[in-house]
Amino acid sequence: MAVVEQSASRAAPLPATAGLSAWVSTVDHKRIGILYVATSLAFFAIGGIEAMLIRWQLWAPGARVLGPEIFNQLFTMHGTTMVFFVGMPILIGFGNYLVPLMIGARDMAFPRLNAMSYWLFAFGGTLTYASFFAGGAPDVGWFAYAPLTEYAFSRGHSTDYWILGLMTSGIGTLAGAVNLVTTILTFRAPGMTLGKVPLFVWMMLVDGVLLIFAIPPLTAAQIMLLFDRSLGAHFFDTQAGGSAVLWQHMFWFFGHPEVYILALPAFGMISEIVPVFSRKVIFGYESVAAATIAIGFISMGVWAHHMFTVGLSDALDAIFSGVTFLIAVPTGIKVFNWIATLYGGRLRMATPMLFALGFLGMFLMGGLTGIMLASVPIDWQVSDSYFVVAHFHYVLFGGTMFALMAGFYYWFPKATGRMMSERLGRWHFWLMLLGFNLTFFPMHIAGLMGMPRRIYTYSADRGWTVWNQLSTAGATVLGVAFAIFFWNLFLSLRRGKPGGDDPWDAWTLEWATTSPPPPYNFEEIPLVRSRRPLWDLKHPEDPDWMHE
Amino acid sequence: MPLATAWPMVLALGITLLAAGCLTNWAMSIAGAVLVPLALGGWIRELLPGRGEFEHARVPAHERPRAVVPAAVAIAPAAGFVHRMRLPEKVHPYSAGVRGGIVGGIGMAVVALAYGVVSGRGIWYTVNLLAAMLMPRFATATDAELAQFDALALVFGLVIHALVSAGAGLCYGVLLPTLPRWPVLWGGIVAPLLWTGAVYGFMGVLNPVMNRRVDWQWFIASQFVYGILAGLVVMRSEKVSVRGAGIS
Amino acid sequence: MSQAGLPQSISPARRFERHAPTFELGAAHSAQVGMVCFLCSEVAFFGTLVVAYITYIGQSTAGPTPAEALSIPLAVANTICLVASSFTAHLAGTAMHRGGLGGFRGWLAATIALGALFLAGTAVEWRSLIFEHGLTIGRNLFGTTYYTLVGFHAAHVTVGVLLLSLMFCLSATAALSRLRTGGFEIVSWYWHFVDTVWIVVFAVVYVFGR
Repeated sequence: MAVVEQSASRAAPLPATAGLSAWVSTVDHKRIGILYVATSLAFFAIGGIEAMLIRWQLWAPGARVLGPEIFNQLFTMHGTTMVFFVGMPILIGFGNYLVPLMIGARDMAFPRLNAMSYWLFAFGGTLTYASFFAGGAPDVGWFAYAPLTEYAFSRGHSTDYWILGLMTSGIGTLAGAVNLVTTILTFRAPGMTLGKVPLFVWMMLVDGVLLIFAIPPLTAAQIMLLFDRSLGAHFFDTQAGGSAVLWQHMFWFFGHPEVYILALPAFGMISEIVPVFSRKVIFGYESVAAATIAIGFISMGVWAHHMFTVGLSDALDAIFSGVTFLIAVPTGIKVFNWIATLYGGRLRMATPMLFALGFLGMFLMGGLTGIMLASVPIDWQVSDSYFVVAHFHYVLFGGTMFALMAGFYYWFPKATGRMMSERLGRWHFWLMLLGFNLTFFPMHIAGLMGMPRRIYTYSADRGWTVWNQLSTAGATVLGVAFAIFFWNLFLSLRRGKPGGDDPWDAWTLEWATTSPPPPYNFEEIPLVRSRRPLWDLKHPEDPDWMHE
Repeated sequence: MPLATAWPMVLALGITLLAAGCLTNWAMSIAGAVLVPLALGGWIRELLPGRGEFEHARVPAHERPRAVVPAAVAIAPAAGFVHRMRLPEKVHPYSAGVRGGIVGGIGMAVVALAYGVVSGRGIWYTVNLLAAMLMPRFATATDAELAQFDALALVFGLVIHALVSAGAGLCYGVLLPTLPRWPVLWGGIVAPLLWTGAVYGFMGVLNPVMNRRVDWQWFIASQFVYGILAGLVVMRSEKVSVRGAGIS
Repeated sequence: MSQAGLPQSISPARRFERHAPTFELGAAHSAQVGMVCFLCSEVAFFGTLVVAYITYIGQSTAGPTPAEALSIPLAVANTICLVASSFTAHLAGTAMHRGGLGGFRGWLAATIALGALFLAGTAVEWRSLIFEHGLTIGRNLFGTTYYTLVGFHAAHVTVGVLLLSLMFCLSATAALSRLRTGGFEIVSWYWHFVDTVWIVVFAVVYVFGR
């Protein structure tokens, strides 16, 4: 691991840094992070196009843009893609890139395992998408409820592609989580206690733990389903005594922590970006970290709130409803902490900050509708309607996606050495904010009017038409916004203005090295004495560790 | 630094081919089954001492990070304060909230007992009504039965009352300093109103027995007594500095 | 930070020594932490399979039932093999720490043999279940859950035996010096874990589930 002035001790040639073979064989966490993010962006484009097709089909009652079979495949693949092949890998990619830099390490704990994680994700995603060329994509919805997924109702191999593709990438995700947790626990720079790591690292730590406990039950359930389908087993076969509800329990035991797996890294990004652009210390570091742990614990105990309409007992409904209300508390603590950080700060309205503020507003909406849905009677009324679709898009798109975009604009200079265009960034932000609300706000209303999710068309006399048309128009605006984003990425990569080591005057260790960092990140492993090591370095007369 | 290696990728490919073979053609699975041990072998060889690691040369000087220079202008003390600002600066200690809750709870109990006496139903009536939250058998009890002394009901009633009083007091203590200006207005009037409204809404679910029999005027009066007493106790407590209390 | 790393920029005299020492987990090798994380995920995995098994106890709509099909003596013999192998694995570790290569190899071989014996016992058991009792994975819910749970455990034992065999082969080469840094230790953790899972499986399948 040593870094020497000349590579004299061993005549090993430096690994090539360009060309396809260098990327295929890389074990550098930064390159793997970039691979993760780039691949996820490709899947994001595909998933976005799928969403767009869905919206066009719903533009008018009785539209014939797509057939019902294609429609089912598209919404299944849209959900699967966005959760498994965009959300998780892109966040793991950011974690991969940033965590070692933030904790002052040379690489991840297991660099080769890291490479395998990425390739399993890439191949797993490809395998799932190969189903399009093998007789049709999965069409059972992203949570694949039994018994619809049993062989009797889902002939052909499409569901098997879903199972095996997700299992393959799931193994990779699990390995990635093990790697992240180990790295954070053992590779921190001297002096960087767990009370001093950046909050993003805290969130990735809890995220990794959640992944470690949430992914295996999904894998086990998928294996059971696979055995049912191909070996004639009876796990979810109600005629032989099996239980379709067991699948729901197992899927959501994964599925609800998954929501927080997708949200926590986003919270972490916000917790890094808001202080830097408010020029203030994060308000209540300890309570944010503690709230993260609380969310991690509670999120393992709320899964059945996805199943209020299944007909569990009243007592179970009441318990899961209560726990779900409870999880709003630590989440609320974080929101208040971010707002308190903004309060009295000298705000710099650069693009990352715009997206972070957008996140605060949009995520708040999603959180509030989430509390509404935690109430059993309300859930019985609107379960599986467009109200639910609106809710989780406000959380995952309004929350995670806005935070991710903030992260892109914030860390792009670190990864590439070039700034992203602020002008295009502003266009991107405002169009995205407009398009997002135009798409998803009307879904609340359509849902309350009774429009169920996953229907491929509807009749004109239901009064849903206008809301659907607003949504479709909004989706088009969103498409334009993301076209601008991709154009900005492309343009900035080639012609962006140089960013320098520390373009935002930030305080965490990743900004202490070059942009992009050398393969070994830091020539000397830095000694850390406070939560803002770079502040201490810039202001030796007023260092943080005198105040912590 | 670890040397670049493609074996992890090959292993991933092997696993994927194994899976894909189940769906398409056994030949793919065979290919996967060949690749997996091959890749594992290659990987393990990388881990052996003397292999798979190399020492990375420093990058050329012009690509190294510039030394971080201390900020040219010393930050003014005021600015130094602002960027680490923690609000509110001073809060009531949590214990004051709990104490306020206890005092308010005693005042509330006095009002409730007074109601029992004035209405002629006896002092146990209100205790039993409160305990009915945990005692399903009271659901079918008559007024006369509810006026009787019941040891279990007394215990339950006391526990519920003590917990709720102290808990609500704690919330008061935490929230009061964050509310603008007239804390007694918030603590004594707005909070009891909100609380009563919430209880009014949920009473049917929480305690149907009480819901049927409660006298709302007296109930609201007892809430105000609680709120004002708790607010006063909290306000009279000495404020402590946030940093001293270990809150940030 | 070419020359001015963080430590140099702060004069040593001003270092306040109220900061916690580095690396709370510094004593733990990263491979150990990684193995613990992996084993946690395995707990979640087997936990799910066990929950499925327990859910379906007595739910089968057709025979054979566990009471008819399962052979307790064989299962007990298997259990003894596996538990004994945990002890031999531990002894191998102790021998390695003392630096006795011969003792290490001996106990390691015993562990591998006991693991292989367990697998052979499982094979005998399955043969009898399939050909004498007609219990297959598709026969009834008992078969479904039994083969899945016991099968995945056996697969883990197989992986464990392969890993231990790999250790055995490597111990013959110069690579042992590297193994001493903890390679064998984490493999033995895996082995003990697989053993513990078997005890749970035994309790659920052969005791509680009959």
